[in-house]
Amino acid sequence: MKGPRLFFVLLCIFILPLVAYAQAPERTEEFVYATTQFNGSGYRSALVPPQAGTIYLIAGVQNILAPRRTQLYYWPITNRYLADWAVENKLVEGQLEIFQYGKKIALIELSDYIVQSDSSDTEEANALYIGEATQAAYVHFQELQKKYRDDLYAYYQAQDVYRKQVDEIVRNAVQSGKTVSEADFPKSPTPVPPLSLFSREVAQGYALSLPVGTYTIQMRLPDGSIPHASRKTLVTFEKMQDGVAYTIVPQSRWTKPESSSQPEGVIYTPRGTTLYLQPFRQSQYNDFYYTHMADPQDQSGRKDRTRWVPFEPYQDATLRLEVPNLAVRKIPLEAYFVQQLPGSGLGYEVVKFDPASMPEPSFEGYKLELTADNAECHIQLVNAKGELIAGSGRQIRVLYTDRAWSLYALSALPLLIGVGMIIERRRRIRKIKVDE
Amino acid sequence: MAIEHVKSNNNWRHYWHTIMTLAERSSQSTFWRLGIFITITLALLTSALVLHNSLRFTERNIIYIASQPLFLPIFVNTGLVSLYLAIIATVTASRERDRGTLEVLFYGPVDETAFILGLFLAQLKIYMAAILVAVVWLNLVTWLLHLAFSIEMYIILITSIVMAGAVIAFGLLIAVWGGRTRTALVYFLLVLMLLAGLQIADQVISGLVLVTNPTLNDPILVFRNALVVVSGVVQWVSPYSQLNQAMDAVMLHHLSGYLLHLGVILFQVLVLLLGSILILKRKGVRG
Amino acid sequence: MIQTTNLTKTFGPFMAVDHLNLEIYPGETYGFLGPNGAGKTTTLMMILGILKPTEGEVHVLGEPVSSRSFSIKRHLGVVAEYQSFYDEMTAWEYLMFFSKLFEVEEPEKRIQELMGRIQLWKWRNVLLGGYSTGMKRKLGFVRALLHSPEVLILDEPVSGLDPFGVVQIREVLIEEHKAGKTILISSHILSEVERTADRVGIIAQGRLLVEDSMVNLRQKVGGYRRIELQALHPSEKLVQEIHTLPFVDRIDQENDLMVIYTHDDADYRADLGRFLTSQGVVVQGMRALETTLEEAFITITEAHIRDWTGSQYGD
Repeated sequence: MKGPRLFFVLLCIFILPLVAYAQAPERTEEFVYATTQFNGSGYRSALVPPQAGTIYLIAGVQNILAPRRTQLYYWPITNRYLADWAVENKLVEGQLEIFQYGKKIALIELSDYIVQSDSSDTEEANALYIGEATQAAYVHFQELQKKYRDDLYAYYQAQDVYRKQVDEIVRNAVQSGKTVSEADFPKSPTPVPPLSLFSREVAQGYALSLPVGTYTIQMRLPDGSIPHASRKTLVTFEKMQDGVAYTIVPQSRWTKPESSSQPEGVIYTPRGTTLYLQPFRQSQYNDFYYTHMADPQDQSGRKDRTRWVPFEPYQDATLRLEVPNLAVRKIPLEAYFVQQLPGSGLGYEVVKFDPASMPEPSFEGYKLELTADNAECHIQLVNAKGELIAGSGRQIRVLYTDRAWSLYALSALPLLIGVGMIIERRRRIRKIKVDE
Repeated sequence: MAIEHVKSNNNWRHYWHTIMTLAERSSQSTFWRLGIFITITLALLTSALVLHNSLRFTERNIIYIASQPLFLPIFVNTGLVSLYLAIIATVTASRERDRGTLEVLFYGPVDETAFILGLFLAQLKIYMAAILVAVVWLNLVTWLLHLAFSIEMYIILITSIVMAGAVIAFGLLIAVWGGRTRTALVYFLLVLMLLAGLQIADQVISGLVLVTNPTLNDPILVFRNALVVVSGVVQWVSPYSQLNQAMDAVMLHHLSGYLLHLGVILFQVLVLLLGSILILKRKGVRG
Repeated sequence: MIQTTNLTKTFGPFMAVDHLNLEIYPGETYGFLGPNGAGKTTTLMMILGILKPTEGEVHVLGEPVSSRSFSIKRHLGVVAEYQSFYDEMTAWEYLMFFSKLFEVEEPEKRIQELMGRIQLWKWRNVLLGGYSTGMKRKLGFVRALLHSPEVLILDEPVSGLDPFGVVQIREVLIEEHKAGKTILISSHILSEVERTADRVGIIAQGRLLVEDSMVNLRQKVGGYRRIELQALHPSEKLVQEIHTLPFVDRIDQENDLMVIYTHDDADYRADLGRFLTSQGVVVQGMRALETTLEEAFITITEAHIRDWTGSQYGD
């Protein structure tokens, strides 16, 4: 019984901290900034708690700083400060003062703003409207929403009528014993495409578009006071350069694409591979600034590193393929469809998309087959004018993975040489003990 | 007559000759043992393992994207060999003192500076031989596996010579400071374990979000902040860390960053060698 | 060639060498003697620059040791009392290494010549770890002579050697002396020092007690000369009559053998011979006995220790 008792005691000791973690964290009402910042491809939100002393934003584009009072708490499991917006989410009214080199350079008033997105990614919006455009955008969204609801309603109505008609035809056919064909049935109603626009509610915040630099910001309330937590350093930074990234889809693992954003990154692949390359425009940012921009509570970025941020697919370009000792080829961007193989066996094949027989393409890309002839090649995008696009070059090489044995064989050589040297020396010397 | 005769002999050519003779003897002695060959082989095998891992990944994942697939194998290789040579430097220097052969050397035209530099250059010579082997291995592997040729690889290998110099100089410092061979070895291993422990602790705790002025008086935050500061110091003090950062700079084509880290390592070499010489002068040559 | 001025070395409260003033002239062989713990090795180590003096200076070849150690040592050959070797090297490799260190010309020839002289040549390819103590001492000697140094500093050079080895080393030392080399020997084997040294310095408790030529040393100690006389059946009366001679201090007798102690101002054998002839004594043998170095050493050091002990304990 000693063992199980000891185990129970140890279990309690280990569980207790978890119990402590599970207790509701302490909440305090705090002033925070809720930012909606441009991240190179779209707009995301972030929380700037009082403990984060510096805000980082991309220069030259619109960003929003929304002053709020909320219930702030520290969540030890993820080790970050979180806001309980559901409990409290109050706008703090006032003006935003911006200083540089000790001088006030701007005074910003609160503006209306709204973020909308036409993609399914609800975390990242790709449109920001500020000021007068806000209401128009929101009204437009509401109209689209209403139209969608109306269309949907009409569809359900039509669907209802269609079902009744089909039932009628089938019943008559059964009663009359007549055979019916597809032509006897009415056309089914066309489904309503889903609403492609997503939108948040109209909110208020400070719209900032600043050149590159370091600033100090603070809020001045109507009574003239300045909330201490509103005082922050604001650092704006810009992209370092543009380039092209590729999403690489291997034919044999099309659900697991890889991304190549570094121009100097060589793409290695085993023999006989077929790849599909999808180009994206990308921008390069300083890793430290970007990390802090994306999350003011994340301190993991490094000033001596950079990161590439893709933001939109690259259209209207051809892929130039250069293989040593062969003529340069141009590969067009084409659509492909992943076709399941018939039969009980699992498998698929990737074929060229045929709009007549296929519903929609699975993906678009440049097809590249790596054979013995092109075990090594260089690719680069060419625009419609025939110009090479900077930053789009990549080296692709077949890696001879079947020669792994050679790594170990070569490693043993120094030992063999050493043994030889020592044997040779021992042959020369006499290892005897001389007694007098 | 005697004075003139002596004065005319006091020149740098003789001094340099002494250093090179000591270096030759010490390096010969290392090559007469199997240890260095086993170490080079093990270092290559470890690099092979790392590279083989990349090959397996490529087979499984179909795509492997790397600008410098050989950097990690090189880092592992150079790290292992330099560490071994630093231990050899520690053992050799302290054993010379322990068994009295250092005193015999000092009967001749050898002083503390010549002795330390001789041992230093001996190990560095061996390291360069090991690098030569690594270059051959890397070139053969690059050709056999069809990896992309990289000039940066050579830059890093050359830079690693300076890094190895710092590690070897550290071994010499430990030897003269520690005195007896066993004590010196213990000191060496303790320092290694301390640095490794700090790196591991930093990596484990660095997953925590660091926020300035946390409202919670969590002792682990204080500990983490202290570790961050210590790790920052270690980053500057550790030659391996500096080589790693130099490699990053090479990959990012940051010449100024590369030169900075190279300069730091060179400074470490100078400080460690100078420290070794001064401590040996103070302690004397008798074991 | 070698000069120490007020050379002092203390280890904490213990004074190992006490204001030592030595001067060794070019071309001479100097015996440096003293009882155990006298400070000989400490002095030698300071001359070699291995130990730093607490006070005083050392000049070798006219240059202060502290600042010119590196260049001075190229002209020194040293055999220390306790020598260590690289067990993993052969004798040949070891000597080639030192030849290179001292930039010896034609090292192979030089090594062969020296090793041949002391009969080590056939063991040249044996690892030093397999050498006996005596062989190592001889090898140390060879190492010291490789570069034909102007000054040889030898601390117990023949310790551990068999009689053949001792003779070999002695012959080498005599040759080096004839070649004009300056030799400083510290040894407990006084008979060897006696055979080779021109001058001797005796040190005890860190102080130089006496420094003089062998001849003067023998004369200074005891203040007398001795004549050994073997006469056929000497009577007691004869002994008494010899005692009455003005130049005789005392007589030790054992059967037919007498040791007659005379004043040290002259050689009185002729006078003694005339007296014995006039007495009709049959002389079977007569010779002058010299004070050995060992006797001188013991006398000098014993007296110092007695005085020193007395001063310590207030006798």
